[in-house]
Amino acid sequence: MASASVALGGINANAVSAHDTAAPAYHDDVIRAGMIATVFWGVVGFLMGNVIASQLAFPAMNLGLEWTSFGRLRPVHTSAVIFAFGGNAMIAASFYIVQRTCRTPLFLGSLGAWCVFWGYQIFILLAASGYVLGITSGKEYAEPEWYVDLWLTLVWVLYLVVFAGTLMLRREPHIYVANWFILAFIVTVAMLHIGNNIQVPVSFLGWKSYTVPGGVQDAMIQWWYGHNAVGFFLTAAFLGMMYYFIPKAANRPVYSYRLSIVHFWSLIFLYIWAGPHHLHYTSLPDWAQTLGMTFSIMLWMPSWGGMINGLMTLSGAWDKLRTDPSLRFSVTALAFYGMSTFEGPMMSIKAVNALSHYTDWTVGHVHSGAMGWVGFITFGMLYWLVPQLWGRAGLYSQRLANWHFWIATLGIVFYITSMWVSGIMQGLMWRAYDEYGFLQYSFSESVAAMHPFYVIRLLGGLLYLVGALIMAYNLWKTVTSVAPVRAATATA
Amino acid sequence: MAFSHAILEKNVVLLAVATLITVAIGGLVQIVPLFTIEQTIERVEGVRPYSPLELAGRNIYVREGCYVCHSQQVRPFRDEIERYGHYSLAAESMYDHPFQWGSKRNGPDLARVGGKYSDAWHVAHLINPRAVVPESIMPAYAFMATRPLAYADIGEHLRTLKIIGVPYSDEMVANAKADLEAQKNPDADTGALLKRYPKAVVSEFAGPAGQVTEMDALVAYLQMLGTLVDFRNVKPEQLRQ
Amino acid sequence: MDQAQLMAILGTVSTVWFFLFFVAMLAWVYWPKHKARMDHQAQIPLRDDRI
Repeated sequence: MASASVALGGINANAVSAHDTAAPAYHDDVIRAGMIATVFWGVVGFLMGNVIASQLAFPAMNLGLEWTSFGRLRPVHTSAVIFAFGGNAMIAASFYIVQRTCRTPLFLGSLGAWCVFWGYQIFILLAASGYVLGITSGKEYAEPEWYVDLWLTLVWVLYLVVFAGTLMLRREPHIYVANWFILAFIVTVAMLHIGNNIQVPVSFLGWKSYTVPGGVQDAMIQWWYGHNAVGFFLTAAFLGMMYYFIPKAANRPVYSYRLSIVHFWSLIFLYIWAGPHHLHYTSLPDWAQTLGMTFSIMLWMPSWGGMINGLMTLSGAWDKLRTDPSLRFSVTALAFYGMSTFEGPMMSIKAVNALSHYTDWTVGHVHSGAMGWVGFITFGMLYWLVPQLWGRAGLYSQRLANWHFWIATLGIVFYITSMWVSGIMQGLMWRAYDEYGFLQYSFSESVAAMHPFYVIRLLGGLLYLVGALIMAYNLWKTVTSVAPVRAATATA
Repeated sequence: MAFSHAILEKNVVLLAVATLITVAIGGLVQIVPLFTIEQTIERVEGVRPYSPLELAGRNIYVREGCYVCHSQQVRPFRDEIERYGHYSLAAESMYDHPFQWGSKRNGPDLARVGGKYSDAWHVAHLINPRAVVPESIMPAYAFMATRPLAYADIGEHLRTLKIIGVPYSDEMVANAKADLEAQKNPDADTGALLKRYPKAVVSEFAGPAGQVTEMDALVAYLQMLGTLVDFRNVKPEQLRQ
Repeated sequence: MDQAQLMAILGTVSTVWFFLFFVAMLAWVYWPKHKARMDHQAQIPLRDDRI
């Protein structure tokens, strides 16, 4: 922490000189802190992923301790990557984007933004420390208990006030489309968070609470939340990031601004209905399952519309992919986005879901989206934004960024291919019959058959982690040892 | 044109409200009917609220994140029914706060694990899974065998669940602690317990009567899973949703 | 009218509403006269380097 604050302090002087000092400055300190938090929590989240992947391959890695068992560490991994890594990246990116596209400093100034930042870090620490101690509400991706939920609600409302307030103070008549996606992300996540966490605590002095809806209603609300956490936290928000940083890095406007508006409305309209595809063939009534499947399949269209819009932004500038690591990550992220938004609707078809549900196929699908789309679009932003924010001429090393790219891509390929094979194999083994009409495999035989794929998956995860560590080193050296650009060149 | 999208592009509040309406309707249409349409929960007999010991065990199941590897939802496929038992009904999890259907089977489904194995098997398996199932990748939960169950406030737990709609009677809340201890003691007078919680399994579970451990509670919960509905007496029209 | 009927009607109304909203949005976005304005908006990120 000490070194981080030294870095932040040292930066201020350079950043001011890099701007037109006559104009009111943007609040960029908190965004720099957000960059550091994003890299830090990314590494923590990927590390936790490797720990729990190793536990599935080698159960001794549970260490026989209650605090380090798979059941308690798995939420630490998912929350660290989704909320800590993804959340910090998005908060920082949104503060950067909204100030630039509105040409105005943040509403409530530096203090409001810092309260959002530190309030959010406190939320992460409260949530993660609870998981390790067994404090959980037992709902996937919404595990924080009631007191953490209340805290996050306060922080989130403040975030909405800062973001929407800045939009209102803008000096640009129009609201740029990236801000639409981010505003939809903030508003919808608020709705989902409150809707899925209606709980009554047993005592206001204790951590335990019970969710008010139960059984089938709780299941529907949970996956309405769970699916749209993907749809709005990991998709809409990061599309906002994409609609700003790809045009910025490519120095060209988005391919079709009209398509981006159609993309926005169709995406938010369709996504919210797709939740029940997580509950195919369960005790959820059929009419709800059918609705979920129908909208999930329709969702394929806006998803690919957005992907094409992002990719075509580069038409005529494809050569930049060879020289610009930021664009290379962003464009690959769009390719993974296209892949997982094709795979998702396919898996929501009931006949496919009958095989894929409860298996590693789902895990592979989630990771092609999380590692490929969310991870890579964020890495692309970091490689472009860190030199900008610290007023550096460029990255410390293009070579290291290229190493990161290839190692991480290889890691994703190992991860998702091993999960495809193990997932489909699991599904087939569970439903296999022998010649006498008996189930052919015991469940434990299917567990044993997964071992080699769990080792390959672990290898993929390790490669992804190594890539992130290379990035952390590269960005650190960019900040500490690349010469600052002079004011004249920065404002020219 | 009467409709002007330009207003949305320039007005933050309208844009936020239009977004909120757009995203709220999908949820309302899918969630509200589940509370109002009566057939959502099948009309089968036998489902009752958890006994205090089972509830304490369920809270340990939630605490340890068992749901990240074990589903509690048998789907209506031939192989699942043969492997696990009758497909799951919405009625069977109607008193589950939160639901624990799960989304991944790193281990087998547990919706109907009750009564399939002995108490001793469960205890040995939880202490060291690989001693019983060599291929298992489950973590060991040996610490539960010796840790006393914290149940001084079990009545408060029942009272909280009663507030949110689980049909616990005042009598059940008042006797929660005594019922919890009675279920662990086969020598106790369990008539009142079994009247309040029909089919509750009374056993020493993980160790001699006297001290109640976390292992006792968890095994009591596992041993009742999926056992409440007697499917021999269920008619097809009762299963209609 | 019971709740099930009300929900069915609400479902229909919302579907129609969104269909109309969507068609109107499409028409507005792709109206030829609006092209210049849209192209101008697309430039926002590229001219934001200074306040």
